[in-house]
Amino acid sequence: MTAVAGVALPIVLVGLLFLRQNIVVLLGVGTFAAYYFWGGGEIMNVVYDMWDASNREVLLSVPLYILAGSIMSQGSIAERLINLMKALMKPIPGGLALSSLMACGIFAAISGSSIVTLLAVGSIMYPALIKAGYDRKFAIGMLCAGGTLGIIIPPSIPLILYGIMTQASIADLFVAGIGPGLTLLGAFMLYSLMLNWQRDRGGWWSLREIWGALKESVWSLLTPFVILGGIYSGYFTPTESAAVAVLTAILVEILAHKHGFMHLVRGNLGEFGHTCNDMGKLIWRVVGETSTMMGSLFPILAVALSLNVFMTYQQIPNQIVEWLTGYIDSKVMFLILVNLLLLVVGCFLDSGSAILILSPLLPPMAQTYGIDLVHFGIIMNVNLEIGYLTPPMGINLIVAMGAFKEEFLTIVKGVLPFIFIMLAVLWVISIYPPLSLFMIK
Amino acid sequence: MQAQVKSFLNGLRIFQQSLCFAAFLGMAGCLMYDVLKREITGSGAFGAPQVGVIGMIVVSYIGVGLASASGSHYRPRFADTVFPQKYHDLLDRIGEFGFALFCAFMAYVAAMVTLESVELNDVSPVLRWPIWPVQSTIAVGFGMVAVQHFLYGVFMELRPKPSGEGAELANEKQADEIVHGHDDYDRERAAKAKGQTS
Repeated sequence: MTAVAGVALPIVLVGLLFLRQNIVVLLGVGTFAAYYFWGGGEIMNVVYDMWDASNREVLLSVPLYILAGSIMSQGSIAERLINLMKALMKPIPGGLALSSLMACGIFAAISGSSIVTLLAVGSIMYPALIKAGYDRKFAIGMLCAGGTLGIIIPPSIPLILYGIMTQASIADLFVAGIGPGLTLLGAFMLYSLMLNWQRDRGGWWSLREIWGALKESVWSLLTPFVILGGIYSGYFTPTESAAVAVLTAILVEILAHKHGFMHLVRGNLGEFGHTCNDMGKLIWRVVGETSTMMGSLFPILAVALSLNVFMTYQQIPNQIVEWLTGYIDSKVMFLILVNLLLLVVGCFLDSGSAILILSPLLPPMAQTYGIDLVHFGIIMNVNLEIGYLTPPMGINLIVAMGAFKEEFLTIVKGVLPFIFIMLAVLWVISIYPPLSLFMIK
Repeated sequence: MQAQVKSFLNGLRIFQQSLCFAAFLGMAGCLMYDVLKREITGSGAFGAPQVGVIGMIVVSYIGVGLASASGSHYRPRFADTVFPQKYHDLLDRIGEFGFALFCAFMAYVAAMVTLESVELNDVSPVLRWPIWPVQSTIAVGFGMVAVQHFLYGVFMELRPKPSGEGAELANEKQADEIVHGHDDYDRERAAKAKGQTS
């Protein structure tokens, strides 16, 4: 019976794929079948595992980071940060492109999502770049690539998911993301500088302009310091930091950017009420979007964790590791194969789903080749980050197509040079662990 | 009939969004209160993170219905072009019924688990509250989604346009809203201010 099920299950799953079933169904059918045929028929264990998976404090950080990022991008924090970057990069050739990348880097340190970063910066900078005469392909490719920094520069939702699946310290994963994130940002900026070196400068620095932009954005700049400083100093856990991020975003928007504090001081309660009302509408909208995202991600997470429990109980990862080590005899060969596998997977799956599906299998193998669990998490994340830019399922490509009304082919051509840059940086990250681990005690 | 089903689905979506909103505010509020209390008094609020987790579980499983209503479930699409175009509508319909069946089964198993918790008087370790009301959100959430997708399978015109890009963007219109949302926000604000002045 179990042998027949072993043959039939993959066929059923392929059939479900053709019948346009969601990932949660594919994973769910696989998990129920595993418990039914090989787990003593205890299918209720799937729901018990899902309950245990959902009932974890560390997961609280995911919706809160998404919410904080959405409030900041749909409020005015992102815009103010961009204005400051523009003022600072003005005298450099191609300064507008550099300021876009810098803004992506800073916004990535607030938001844990690639799409939120792309939309927050891109919606403001793309029209500005086109107006300034930048090549469309370059501009959109750069913004799509810059958006991916959202999931490598901490806080990062895929890193949180990896930490949950592998029991790696999320704070360590966040710290390990800084080096690779800044290296990628530096590589993008260098390429942009080389490409736009002949472009006219935007004039010299204006202290008045910089001071004005700084004054406008001082509260926005405070946000990444509060979030990251709190985590790195050990003052906040990642979950507490996420709550602080939401609180900071709401307070900065209401009290500073919408002048709520001044309204309160002057006793203008009517105007303060309007400000709060507007903020309430914004929160209603972004909470709806965040709940939608939770509804699509969390069932997958819960079912994947149930499958993880089953596989660990049956010692399946250990058996795969033993089998594969007979064929792959070196760490470099393993890294090459894993990177190729993840690049292909990244073309078809989003990073969250890929991490949830592959985390029970790949990290134990990596550890047998002497690769640090945290370092491997960064390799996986950067790899899947590239998947945001590769067709057919490159999420940033599809978002950019919808949001900036550009042809899919134009966007694909635009991101190609950035994919090559990311591949080069990925290889450096893979073979040079200190780039990721240098700050970890 | 279709109009009635449409208004039923709309009502269901508003109910789900309201429930998620309340649970989300509860979750975020508990955590913020915990951090603020710790900063002010030196000790956190008892059980606040656990109450936050309850809020998150409600948001997660009721949110499955919101993801369905906006076509935001993650789905591998690379096999979509294997069959000729003329079969696509049929495959979409089968897909809807298939998902409805899966969710109904999931709701059934979750209901069994909830009943077992009631019988065993399972309580949460920190708060000492019965866990079955929260566990039941898994059954209720998947149950509502089963109904939604069954109705989408019957009335294909009511299906939301699949997003293709995950949860953040339901469709191109939503992308527009996100890109231009801030402008609208400011415009609304300016219009209000103008109205007050005049």
